[in-house]
Amino acid sequence: MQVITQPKVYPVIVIGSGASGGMAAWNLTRQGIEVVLLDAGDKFDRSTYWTHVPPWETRTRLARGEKPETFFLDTKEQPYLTPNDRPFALTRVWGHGGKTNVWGRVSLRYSDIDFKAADRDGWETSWPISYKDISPYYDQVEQLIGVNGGTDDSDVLPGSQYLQPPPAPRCGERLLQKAMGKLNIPVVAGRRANMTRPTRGFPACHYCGNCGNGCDTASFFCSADHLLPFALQTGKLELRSNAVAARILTDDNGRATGVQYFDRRTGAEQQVRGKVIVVGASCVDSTRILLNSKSPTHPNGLGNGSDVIGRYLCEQIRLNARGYLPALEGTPTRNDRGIGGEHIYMPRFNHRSGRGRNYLRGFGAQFWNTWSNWNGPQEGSDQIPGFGAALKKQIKRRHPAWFEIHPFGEALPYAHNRITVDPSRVDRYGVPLLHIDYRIGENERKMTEHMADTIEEIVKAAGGVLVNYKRGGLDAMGSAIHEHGTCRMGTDPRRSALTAFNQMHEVKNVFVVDGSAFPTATEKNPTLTILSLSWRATDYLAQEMKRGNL
Amino acid sequence: MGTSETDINRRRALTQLVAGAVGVASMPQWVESLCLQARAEAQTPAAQAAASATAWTPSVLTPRQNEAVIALTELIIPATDTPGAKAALVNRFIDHVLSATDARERSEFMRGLAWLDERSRARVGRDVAGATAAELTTVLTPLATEGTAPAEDAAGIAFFRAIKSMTVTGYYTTEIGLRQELGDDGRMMLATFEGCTHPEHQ
Repeated sequence: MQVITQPKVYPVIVIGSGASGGMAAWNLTRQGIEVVLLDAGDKFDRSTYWTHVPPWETRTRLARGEKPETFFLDTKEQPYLTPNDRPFALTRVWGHGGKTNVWGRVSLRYSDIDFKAADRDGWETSWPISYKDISPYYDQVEQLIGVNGGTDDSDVLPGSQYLQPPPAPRCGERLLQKAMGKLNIPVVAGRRANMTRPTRGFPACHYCGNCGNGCDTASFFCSADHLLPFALQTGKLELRSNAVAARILTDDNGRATGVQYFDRRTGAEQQVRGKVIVVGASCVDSTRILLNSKSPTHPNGLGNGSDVIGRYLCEQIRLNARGYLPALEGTPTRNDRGIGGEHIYMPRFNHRSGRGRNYLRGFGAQFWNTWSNWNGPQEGSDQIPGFGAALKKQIKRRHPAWFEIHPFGEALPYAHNRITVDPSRVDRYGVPLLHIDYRIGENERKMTEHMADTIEEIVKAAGGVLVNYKRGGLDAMGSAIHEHGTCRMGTDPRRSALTAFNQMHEVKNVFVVDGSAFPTATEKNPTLTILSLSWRATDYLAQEMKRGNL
Repeated sequence: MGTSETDINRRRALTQLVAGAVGVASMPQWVESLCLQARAEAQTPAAQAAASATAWTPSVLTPRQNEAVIALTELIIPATDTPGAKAALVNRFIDHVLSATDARERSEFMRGLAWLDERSRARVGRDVAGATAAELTTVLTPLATEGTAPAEDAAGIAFFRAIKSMTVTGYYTTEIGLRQELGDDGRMMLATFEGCTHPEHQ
């Protein structure tokens, strides 16, 4: 194959345009630094989204031959491998903005309970930063992207000063909230990146609840709407679409010199040269790129002399308990779409005095679909006995009464939970495929028991009834879509791949700014922290560049 | 230990819905798979296109089986003060789900339908498509009441479970089911969100 080498050397190459890469490109270009940004996909066209289309109208549109946007990468195009008996549900979005096009928008600050967890319990390594290092960046990010939430700060959830007003709870959420109050289980307004006020020229949320299909008004944060256009306006950004990054290239001294990528449409191999490389392709794909970047100076993958890259994959555990509240049966059907998903959140509480159990770390819970589901009645309606007019009547009565409790728990980092690349199995470009080997352990199983007890306690106190409930039954591994840990930051280069500023210990001109840098998963949703860390890392990068250190 | 490539398309649908699994312990696996497949298919363009095509012929069901499915779905969700499953074209949805699912689940469904035809002939002298609603009710009632049917009825109970779940999924994802029956206002652009205003819930 002919290799086309482009002679220009860019000051910075950024791989990936989602939360981490988009933030890096935005923050560097606004400081006058020229950036070439590689994204594995194309721009999604907001004008084609079916955000504000009621479900039945989709049928008319489909009959006309129209199709909605589909965001997710097909495994037929990019397969990945797992052990036969340990499936892992990997979700990838290749296209401008990545997963921020369809993310869950939950935006919870991490606190020192999270950053210093390993200092307290001794399991693996702590973060090399603490809350005071990142809180100014949380402040900036929240003002930039528009996060709503309450003023109910705690040791778990600090820093509400920049939040926009939260949406009111729905009936089901009110009843669950009251029950949790009786049990002394904490419950707060959710904190989510739906803008409830017009922000930076973008209109406020319209409460269609259909965020999973992409937002046609850009009323929740998406990198492709809220970062990339502003980066392009500086004139400092060159955005290359359909550029599937494969390897980071290095010189004889092991220093990065550029990126090899493949054109997704033609399959042609390309290279781009740069002085500094920022990797933000999401945890799993960034890890694949680093591990595939083998060279005589980096035989174990780029910057992986410590052998930590690929290891310590931590993906949160979650489950979804569903039921109904008899108190709401037979009430009128409401338009409860809201901001999609939950308006309330249960922060972690097992660190509180007397609430602990025999496991490390903790879990929180979201409350999904405590509302009349726009997609139809909740699963479980078919469990109502009988058939005929009586069944139809009972399904209608129960329709406004459904709720879902959705806990997310921290999974500990284990060295055996690992992403590797398999040189014997390659993708359409000849690049080795990912292999994900992930399993949870005893700590997570004990935590699952506590989750189950908590759910059952809340539902009982609320007078609810669980349906299709399988105690201890977790969702498929990978379904939290919160992968972390495989290129972790730390102070000790033997036990971590990155410094406290996301710079590789072993390759000074490479920064990794996505969730792979997190030493722990925490129980919280990571995007707000990814944005803040990427902003912080690229501030440092820009400063080092100006000092002539890069 | 071997490795395998992940086929996310089918598995995504199934794992994402796993929490809503049918959850009746006594039911065979194919019933659960088919019900989950129906839920996944209810959200896909192909099923909705099938439901809205004007000139439609079944792709899996024979004309007689299609008649039987129409009769059964209408019996499960009948016309009341709002239209029922027949008017909502739930039979087309079921035909599509059967065409999209695995051959094994499809053949189990067909076997179940044949069993029910046989039972209907034995009890009321006509197959499902030929029976009246009252006759079908007599045939179905023991199969729909858990714990009351004898062991030899297991095939019929499983089949009824599958078609009931698919009917519920198919019906309540149409405009008839969602808007007319459940009263969804269909408003997708609200200036403000009121939330719960009931004093008794505060």
